[in-house]
Amino acid sequence: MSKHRALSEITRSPEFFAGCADVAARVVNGADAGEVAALLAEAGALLGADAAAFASFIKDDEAYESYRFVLACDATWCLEYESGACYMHDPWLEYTRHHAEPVLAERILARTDQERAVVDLARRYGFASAVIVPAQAPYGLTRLAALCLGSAMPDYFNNDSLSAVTFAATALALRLHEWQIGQLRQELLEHTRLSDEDIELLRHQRLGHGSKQIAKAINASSMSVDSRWQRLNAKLGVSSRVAAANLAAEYGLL
Amino acid sequence: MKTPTAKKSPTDRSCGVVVKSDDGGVCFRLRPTRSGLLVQRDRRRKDNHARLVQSVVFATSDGFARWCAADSVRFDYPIVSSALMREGGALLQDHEQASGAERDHQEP
Repeated sequence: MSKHRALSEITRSPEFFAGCADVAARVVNGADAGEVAALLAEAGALLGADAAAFASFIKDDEAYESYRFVLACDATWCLEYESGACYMHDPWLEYTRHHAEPVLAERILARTDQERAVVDLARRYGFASAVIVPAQAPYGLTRLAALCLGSAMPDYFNNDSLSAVTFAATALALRLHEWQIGQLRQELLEHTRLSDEDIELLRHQRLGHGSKQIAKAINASSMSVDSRWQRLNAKLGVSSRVAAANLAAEYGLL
Repeated sequence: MKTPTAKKSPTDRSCGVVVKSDDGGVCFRLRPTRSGLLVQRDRRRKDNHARLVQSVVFATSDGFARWCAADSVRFDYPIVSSALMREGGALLQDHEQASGAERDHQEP
């Protein structure tokens, strides 16, 4: 990506914000992962980064958690990250769980040896200096995402130009998150073949409606509602109505 | 034994290729794009109750080969790994030939 031009030189360019906004605008719902990876690489270069990764997390069901990465960096990093189960001890991901503000990665404290190992791994693969830009889900959902911009040059982002980078990168992170939710929604619909009636049932559950209330609303018997729920839970591979509605909400269906 | 299933059309690779293990532990989706080969690696770990999906585009065969060589799937699912290298290599070769032909066409 960049040949380590000074960050101030990059951010003072008259085209800096317009270029970043243009790339963010091209991250549209329905774009495939290949197009988005190419746009991420383009945006990373505009933002002065050597490496860029967009990471998202979602709780799939009661048992499984999913981590998704779109990479514009050395992809070997992600192989090592996965084989070492680094997602279990990632302080940058943990920061994203609790904060909405972009931050220099070096300001996030790695508290344990395992967390320090995760940071060291990232540093070895082009994130010696890094900026974490969180993109959060609405209140009540576990899904989260973050854009991570990296430079092989230590302290590259640690200067007065950081605010311009984070300002431009926030718009991109939000667009990437929106795109990712669209992908998840599509993935769930394709995988489960949910009908409009199924989605209506899930909406009722999300509003806290019981069988009788749902039966009245859809003009059916309570027994019929209960059997619909059994089929729906089986389609989604979950054990309860609450888990089904949570899953649908996490995947952006509701 | 962990064995792969490779789903592909014998005549048209442009729609992409899926290489996966029968136990669902790993799945690679390969598809040619304008900038290279899109690889989506989907790995499920039952022990950690976690799934990690990484999407990356490789522009060159060398970069793709290095990445395949670094993947632990080479040891955990050797047959899947061989199929991945074969199918991905063929798709990238097509991409590189097409890019080369386009360059030749553009040059005066």
